[in-house]
Amino acid sequence: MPLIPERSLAVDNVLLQVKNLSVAFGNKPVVKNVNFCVRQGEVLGLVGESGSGKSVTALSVLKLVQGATYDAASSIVFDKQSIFDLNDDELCAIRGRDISFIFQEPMSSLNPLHRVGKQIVEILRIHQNMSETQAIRYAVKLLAMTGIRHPKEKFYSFPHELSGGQRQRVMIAMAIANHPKLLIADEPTTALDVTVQQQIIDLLLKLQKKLGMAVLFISHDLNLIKKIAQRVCVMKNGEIIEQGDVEKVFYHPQNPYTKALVSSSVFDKGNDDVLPKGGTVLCGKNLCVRYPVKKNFWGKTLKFNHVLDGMDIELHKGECLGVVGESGSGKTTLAMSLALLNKFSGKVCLNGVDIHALKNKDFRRKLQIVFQDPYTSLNPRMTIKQILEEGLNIHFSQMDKNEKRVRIDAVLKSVELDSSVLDKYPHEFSGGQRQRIAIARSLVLEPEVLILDEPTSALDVTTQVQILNLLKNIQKTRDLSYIFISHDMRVVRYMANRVAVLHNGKVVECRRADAFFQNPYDDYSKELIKASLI
Amino acid sequence: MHIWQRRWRNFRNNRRAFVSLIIFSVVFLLSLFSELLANDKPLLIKYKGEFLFPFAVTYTDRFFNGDFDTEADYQDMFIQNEIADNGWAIFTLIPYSYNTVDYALDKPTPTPPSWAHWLGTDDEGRDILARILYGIRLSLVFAFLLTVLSSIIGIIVGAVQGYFGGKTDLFMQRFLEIWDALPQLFILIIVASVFVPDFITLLLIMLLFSWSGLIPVVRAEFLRTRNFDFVKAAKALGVGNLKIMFKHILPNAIVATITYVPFLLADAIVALTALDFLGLGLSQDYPSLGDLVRQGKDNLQAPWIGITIFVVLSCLLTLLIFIGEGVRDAFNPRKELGRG
Repeated sequence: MPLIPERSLAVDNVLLQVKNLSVAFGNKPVVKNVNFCVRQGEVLGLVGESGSGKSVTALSVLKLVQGATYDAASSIVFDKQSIFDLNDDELCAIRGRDISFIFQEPMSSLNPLHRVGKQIVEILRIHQNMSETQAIRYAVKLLAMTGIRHPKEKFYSFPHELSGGQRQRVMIAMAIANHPKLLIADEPTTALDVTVQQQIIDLLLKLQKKLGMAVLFISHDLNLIKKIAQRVCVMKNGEIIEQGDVEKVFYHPQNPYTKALVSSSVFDKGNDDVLPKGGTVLCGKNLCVRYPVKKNFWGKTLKFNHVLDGMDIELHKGECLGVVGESGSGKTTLAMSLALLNKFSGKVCLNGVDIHALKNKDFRRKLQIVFQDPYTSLNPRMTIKQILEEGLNIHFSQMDKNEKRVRIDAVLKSVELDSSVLDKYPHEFSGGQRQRIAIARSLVLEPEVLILDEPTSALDVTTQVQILNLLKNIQKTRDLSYIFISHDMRVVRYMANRVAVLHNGKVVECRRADAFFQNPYDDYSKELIKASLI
Repeated sequence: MHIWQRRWRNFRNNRRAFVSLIIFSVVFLLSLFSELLANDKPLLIKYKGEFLFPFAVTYTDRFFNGDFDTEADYQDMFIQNEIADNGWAIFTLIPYSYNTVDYALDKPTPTPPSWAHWLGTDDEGRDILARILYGIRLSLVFAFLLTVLSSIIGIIVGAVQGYFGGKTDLFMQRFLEIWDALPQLFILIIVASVFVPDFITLLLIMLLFSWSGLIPVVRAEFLRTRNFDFVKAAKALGVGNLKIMFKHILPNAIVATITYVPFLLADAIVALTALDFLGLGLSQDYPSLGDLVRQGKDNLQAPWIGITIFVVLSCLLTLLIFIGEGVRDAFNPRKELGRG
């Protein structure tokens, strides 16, 4: 007997029909007059940048958005039932049984105080008349279906004992527990590492075919949607601006925004600039950073977690060194160590001089860093002028007001902002503009080395391209050397002259970018490239 | 719109808190000018064609044709007649100061409310209304000073602990735990048995026990904020520790701190009143609210004392709590604009 009876694929059967859906928070419309349908057994992709209303649209399907008001003309029909006509009890019956959800961050969707198995059992017992033992047996089977190793043991784990990928597998087990007709997946792989992402997507697709369920797949990642969806809706500012079959939308986009989105998503070009032949600017030898994990009674550390485990790295003048690796591989720690922002053992030399021998002031001026999240890297209580002037006041205190102003204006020009921004506060700017300001703050000191720690991963795709091109231009005009840290292989291929791959605190491969992407030596590098560049 | 404007608007939209703030400000302003409202010296005298300002300038008894070189007693019938014969005098609304004993009373003290003493007199024949007016000023000024001083110390210590963390934090935290475990009341009893503290010494003694109040809040805010990217960015720019602490982190931590201030004020008022009530606080010369509470307890046959001081204290503290709630809500970033 098959675990779950197979359903026949009825392609043209509309399962979910959303008509004229408008959702507002207070006076602020978030979703405007959205129309789409999901057919039985298909994968519908919903793409758009952050804030475009994707998630609200999806959550509205089950009236899960708190504090929202729905326009009177909105209608949502699921399986011939109008969602707006159902009372709370009837909605609850549908939630988790006919329609289930997978969210981005599995840790916050699982109750940290309950064993994961128990949480699956709970769902089974609510919606299906199962006895405790039946439910437990079934839950273990479900876990096995999601490809978790040792499902019986994992059944009794707490969420924090599982890895991100395993947690997402548990979420999937919970989502398919009641054999839903529609699965809504809201960025289910965004929080995961690339190699794990691939496995989760494969699993989702496998289960989707096996169970014959429809999937509404929400993502900002166009490549992913292109790979898995049959049809796609493109959202912008709460409206669906284009929808249709994947081939049509991606290869013959009609809307100018879609065109920009599609073209920007393809960093198919590698960095073909000539490899600069400068000497070494910055080098780190035998860098180690470790944190105590376990201590004995007297406070003596028994076990360390080695974040950097004897790492050697070298940056040549005028080049862009791409540093890649999954989360936890030590990328950010490396950046912080090179910028002397955390403690480490080992030796870092700037222009051949040990940085501990340099004066703090001289070192800071020559090496600057740009952080990942422009929303947290600018002090919200300072105006842009104060932010940009701060470094000058420390390192160029002999400059008078006019000289400082000239320097600031020049820097603003090179990040393509005009001087009207100076009296504003960071919250008045978009993410891309903020990142420009953060770059300007570093450039104002005219450094030699710029460490870029995931400078574009908090940004939308269209903005990403602009910032990357800006960084390339700045590098050329100012003869800078970059350490470019990213988890996104496509971005690194676009930017870097050389690539260093980090794994478990060590550099496993460090070579010219073109050669590396064509023919990686290391097994881990191969896996990374395969998972992210298809 | 600037963030402070938005907070002020949020605060104003909270009707209860805003009205409380207005009433509180009026009461505080009035009490600051107690000398102009309740004084046993006239505000203005016209005497033999001259204008005199006795509440500000000291005139001798001899000046008014008396016998002594000491300051004139304007309650004295002789002086009053002398002035009435040679001009006129304008007295304050309440013609008694906090320490003026009314010798003209025709009943044993404490006397009930009358036209001369609107809220009656206490057991030494002093006007209760005047004592309350001066008492509010004393309590509020004391509470303000105590709050400001302990906030300054608390912010500095909390900032150091939170910013540097590690061993600094560990040792200071242990020290604070020991310090906070000292029994405040016993130490005050010992101090009070050696000498009766005056305003400044009592302030300093209370400061010894209240300076640690804000530290946990400030420390937690600094611990949280020091890991933000903009702090790292400032370090990478080469900004010094002191500047990072007070220019980058403190403005972001101040919100949590300000939220506590009205409640600290209320606490300080209660603490001072309680000490005075127990006789461990300021000496009898001060017009303290706690002294009136004690009198209310000692003179249950004169309920106007107890009732008056009860109403005054509960109103004052309620106003402060309402204001505190308003401030807390106005500073809450999750609070939407314009909801009361």
